[in-house]
Amino acid sequence: MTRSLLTLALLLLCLLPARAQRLVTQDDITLIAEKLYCPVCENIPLDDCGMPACLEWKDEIGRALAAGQSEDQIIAGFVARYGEQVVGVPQQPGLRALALVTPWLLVLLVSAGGWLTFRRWRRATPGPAPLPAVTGTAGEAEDYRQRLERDV
Amino acid sequence: MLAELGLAALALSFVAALYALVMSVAGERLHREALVISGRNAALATFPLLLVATGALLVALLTRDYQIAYVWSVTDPQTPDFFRFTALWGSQRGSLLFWCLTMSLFTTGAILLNWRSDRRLMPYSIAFMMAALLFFVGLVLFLENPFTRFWILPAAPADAQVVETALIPPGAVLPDATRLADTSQGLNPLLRHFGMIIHPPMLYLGFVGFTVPFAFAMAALASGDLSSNWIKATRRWSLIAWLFLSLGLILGGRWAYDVLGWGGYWGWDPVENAAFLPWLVGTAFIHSVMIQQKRGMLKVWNMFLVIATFSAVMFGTFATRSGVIESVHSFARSEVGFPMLAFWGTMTLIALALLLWRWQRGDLQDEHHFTGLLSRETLFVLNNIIFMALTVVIFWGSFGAPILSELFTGTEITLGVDYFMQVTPPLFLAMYVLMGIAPLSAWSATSVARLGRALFVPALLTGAALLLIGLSSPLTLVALIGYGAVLLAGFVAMVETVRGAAARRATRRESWPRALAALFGRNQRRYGGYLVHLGITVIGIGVIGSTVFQLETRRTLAQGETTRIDAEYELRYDGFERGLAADGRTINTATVTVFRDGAVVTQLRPRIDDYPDMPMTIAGAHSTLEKDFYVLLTGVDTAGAVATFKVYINPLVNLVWWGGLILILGTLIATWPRESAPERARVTQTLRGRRLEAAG
Repeated sequence: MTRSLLTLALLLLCLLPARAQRLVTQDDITLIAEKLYCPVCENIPLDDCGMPACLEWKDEIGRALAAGQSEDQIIAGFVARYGEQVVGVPQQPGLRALALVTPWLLVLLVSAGGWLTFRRWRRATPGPAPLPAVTGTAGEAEDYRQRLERDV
Repeated sequence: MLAELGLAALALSFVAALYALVMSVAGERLHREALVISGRNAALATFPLLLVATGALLVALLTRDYQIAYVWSVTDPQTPDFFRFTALWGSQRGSLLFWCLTMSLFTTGAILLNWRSDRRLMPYSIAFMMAALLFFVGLVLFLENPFTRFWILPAAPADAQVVETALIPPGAVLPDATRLADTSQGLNPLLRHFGMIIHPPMLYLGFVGFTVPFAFAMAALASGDLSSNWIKATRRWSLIAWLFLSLGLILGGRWAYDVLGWGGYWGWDPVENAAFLPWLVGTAFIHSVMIQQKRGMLKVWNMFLVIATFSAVMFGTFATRSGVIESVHSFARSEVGFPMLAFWGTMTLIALALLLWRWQRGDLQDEHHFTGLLSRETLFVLNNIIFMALTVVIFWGSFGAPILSELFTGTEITLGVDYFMQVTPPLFLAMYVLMGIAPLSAWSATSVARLGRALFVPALLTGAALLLIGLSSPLTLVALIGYGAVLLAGFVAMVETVRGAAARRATRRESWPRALAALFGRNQRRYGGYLVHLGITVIGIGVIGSTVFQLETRRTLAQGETTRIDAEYELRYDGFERGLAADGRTINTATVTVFRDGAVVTQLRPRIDDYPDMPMTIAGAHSTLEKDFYVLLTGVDTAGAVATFKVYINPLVNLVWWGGLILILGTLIATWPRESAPERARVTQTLRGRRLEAAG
């Protein structure tokens, strides 16, 4: 058992340098750069920014990936250095909740307002009786024909 | 001379707008017809005056009058004549003047076309339109004057000898013309594109166009004519404004796709969103007014929507022009921010106060009430809720959350594509589902069984289409649901149109083309509307295809090297050349060959234009209806031996533009003037109203 564990540990040790120097493609960098915003020019995704500083930051992402950092670690590093404005959705839990939960609360509010208004309308004095129901496909076709005749 | 002419015309238009505003209100309040007519004439004078002012600036741009600071800042001797025209709206000052011109054009059109038919609404309509025009002309005249000139004051200290003023300072002399030309700045490189000759004017026309329905609505509230007259009077104006706004958004997307070099057409940029918000509220309004016209319902809601649309327009203008939000689209920070914010707030508050006043007096009672849960009215209200929900979440992401976060936590945040792609798709999905169901429902009430029967054929066609798409390429669940909703909306529009033509053929023995033409001619609004729905469907298919199935990759290649992009496409880097253009930019062009299944498809020439201030990445694209193969040159070594390319394969992206064209065609059909009888009826009604008023 001890020998197996030692062998495994040795194997992992052999793998570590390989992981640390893993091959990073430009698409790997793009995937992360797309999730970040240029820290010095607001509202431009880092991936689309052609400023020298942004090119350097993209190289930095490549170096971090090659050094074995994960996407989350790299993004967290950028947020720690440049603030929450470098990501499309804030990382800090409170701000993240504010950003993502509030719109749905607002939608619920709009919907609830709509629903209450509708109920109020329904409770109000009834209007004229609805048009007589037309049943059956023949009746519907006649109804449609009459509607069309009125229209055209 | 040109500056003096422009300045005088601008000042006179300011006076005319102020006079028209005062006379219209005074005439209406004092029942003095002569004052109202005098006010109308002054309002009509604003357009020719602003035309003269704009013409003077345009001539200055074309004749290279660099003493005018605006001409100096947006053109240089190398600027081609074509871009000298576009330079008119290439910067804040010129574009504000152009904005005033388009606003006065709409105002003049509304006065001339609605004067007789909507006589009772006209004085207050003119007053509100002139209030808006007065504000913008005032901004141009006092804060962002495009006619200021450079002068030399020989007696002043060396560092204060050059001044920029609208009026000639005492003792001033003309600056050296050659030096002015040599130091002139030229047009922003982003604006040197064909799309820029048409995108901003369309957007401006869309924005200012919504002033007309707003002014008529406010006139209805102020005058007490709370029938549907204001809606009948402004239906076409609303559609025209909506048409231009749609066109502006579509062209803006095309410009971004061609010029901004990021492979897409919509980046959820705050300023893009600021233009999209009035479109969303305006679309809700265009649907909602139909209920008031047909059933006399939602009077308060329609008033609220027209106020919200105008308010969104003013907010969008403020966001774009104040520089409060950084964006590739926004003008530099300027002095107009606070006045615009004040105007936006004041107009919105006045409008809401008028609405509340009438509402509390019980003047906006609906003539009918909702009778069934499942009816066209209910579905239209649901549609309105969806549009308002979209407005709220987009506003929140673009402005609300960033501003509140900074105000209350001191933390700057950006809500980008990640946020918008989480919150908007469910709402757009609901919008398409409603677009499919609502046209099939009847006014007052409909039954589930009846709706189900009407939906049967479109649903069957949707299922068949999904099956065909699924067989030709693998579909994700998201794409399947999205395509399902979008296709259903499109098939409903098509089936309803074909059904109408078939009914005509059956009763009148007409050929298909004749029956279709007659159908569109006799009920432009309904069938034009179906065509608009079809356009939105086609756009939806394009958006889903180019978003869900987009392939994006970056490759670095040595000259002569070939790389495989996906199972079908390969790309070869053939060569590189660098040259100097007449306007001073360095053009770095790569030549690449695109192969599909081993065969040469095309040769593309993506390039980087290096301007003194900024680089511009111009894509090379091979476009087909099926997909775009879109290549950007993102980097190259000095000799051009090795270059880096960003490649996008954008499936169905061209459907976005084709859908836009269908939408425009449908809106034109729905808007085209035909109804002369209702207008006559309105004239009679209005005159009768005025006689009664005079008698009472």
